[in-house]
Amino acid sequence: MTPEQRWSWLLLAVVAGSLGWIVATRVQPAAQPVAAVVAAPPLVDVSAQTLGGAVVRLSEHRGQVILLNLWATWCPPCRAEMPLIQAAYEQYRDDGFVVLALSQGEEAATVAAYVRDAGLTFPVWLDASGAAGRAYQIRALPASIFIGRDGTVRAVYRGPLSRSVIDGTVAPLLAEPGGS
Amino acid sequence: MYPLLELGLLNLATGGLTLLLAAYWWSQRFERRAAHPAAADAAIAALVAAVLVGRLAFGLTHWSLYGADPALFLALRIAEFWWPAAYGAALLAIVLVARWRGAAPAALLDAAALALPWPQALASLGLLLSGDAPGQPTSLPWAVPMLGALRHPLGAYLALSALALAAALGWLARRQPPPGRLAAVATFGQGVLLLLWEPLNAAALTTVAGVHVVQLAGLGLIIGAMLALRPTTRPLADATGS
Repeated sequence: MTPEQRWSWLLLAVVAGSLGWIVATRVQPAAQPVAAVVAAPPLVDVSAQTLGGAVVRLSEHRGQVILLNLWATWCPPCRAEMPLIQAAYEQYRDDGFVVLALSQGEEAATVAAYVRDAGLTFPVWLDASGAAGRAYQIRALPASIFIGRDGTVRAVYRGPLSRSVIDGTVAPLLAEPGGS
Repeated sequence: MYPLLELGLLNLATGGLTLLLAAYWWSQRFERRAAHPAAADAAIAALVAAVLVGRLAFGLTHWSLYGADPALFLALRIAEFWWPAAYGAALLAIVLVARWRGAAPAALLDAAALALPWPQALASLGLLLSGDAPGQPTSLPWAVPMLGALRHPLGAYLALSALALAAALGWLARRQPPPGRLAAVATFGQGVLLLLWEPLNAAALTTVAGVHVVQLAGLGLIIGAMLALRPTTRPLADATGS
């Protein structure tokens, strides 16, 4: 066997081994819940106002998988991710998923106009003082905090979400048993 | 996790800062190792190509987001570059500049490859510091608290792998290999790195039928490198010098 032939066989072996590794480490949706999360921080029960002026609290949605989205109408990446979040909400809401969009420091009229134009159907709240941002140590918008049914923070993403990130985070959380 | 460094009135993004430092460090190391007048131009071209193509590829692989707001292609987001595309574009830019300036492409590629792993390790640690490369949740003893869970310190894994690559390339460089071999081995190493660690990347869920696209790109780098490293038997006439 010539050195070229030996190299070709080595190349084939490397490709085969790599493909095996790629297949073995592929994402398997809903096959397993997310890996055990140790010392997940508890939910910080922030309060906010609805667009109608009612005072609401995050804890009212305990038992659901929550996407707490910190955003603002003036923030382009925030607006870019909204249609994806709306689509995910429509897909998963019957399974116990809720989106709570907390507008940071904006007037109700401004936010309401955007919500109407964008056709958002999930709850949009006003966080006039930015309390949620401080509670979760968020300094840039958008930011998305995923909270499990047990009321613990399970993931925090800074920057706009893609649909695959939403699906990859929400689906395993929905598959977990309900919290107390 | 320290995404921001507060210095008086300045809020500096640690990830962006380390990435800029790494890029500058790489260009200095590259120019010193290449010792050729074309190296400075090649370094600039490589960095520009890496930024443009890396962001373009990231946007195309996250089209559901970038398509909704094309302005994101210009956003200052350091974690939103597609490394395999950026790496390939940088190599191509170096080859083009070398040909344009009459330098030996293989020699410049070798210098660039040898210069990369240490700055790459610094950039990886920056991603760990800023929280831009979250690993999958784990209960292993060396897990770090990040984004609401204990996670694999993916940035540290990437940094250690880059240092291992630096050691391998340093060893190989001392043996004075033929031109181009260092670059090919470095490309092989980059491919292995992508193949190995991408499954632990919690923020990269771009998949086709569950398969991580970045791993396929890593396999592409490995195949390309192995084809470049393939031994060739010289014709008898050449071997005998007649």
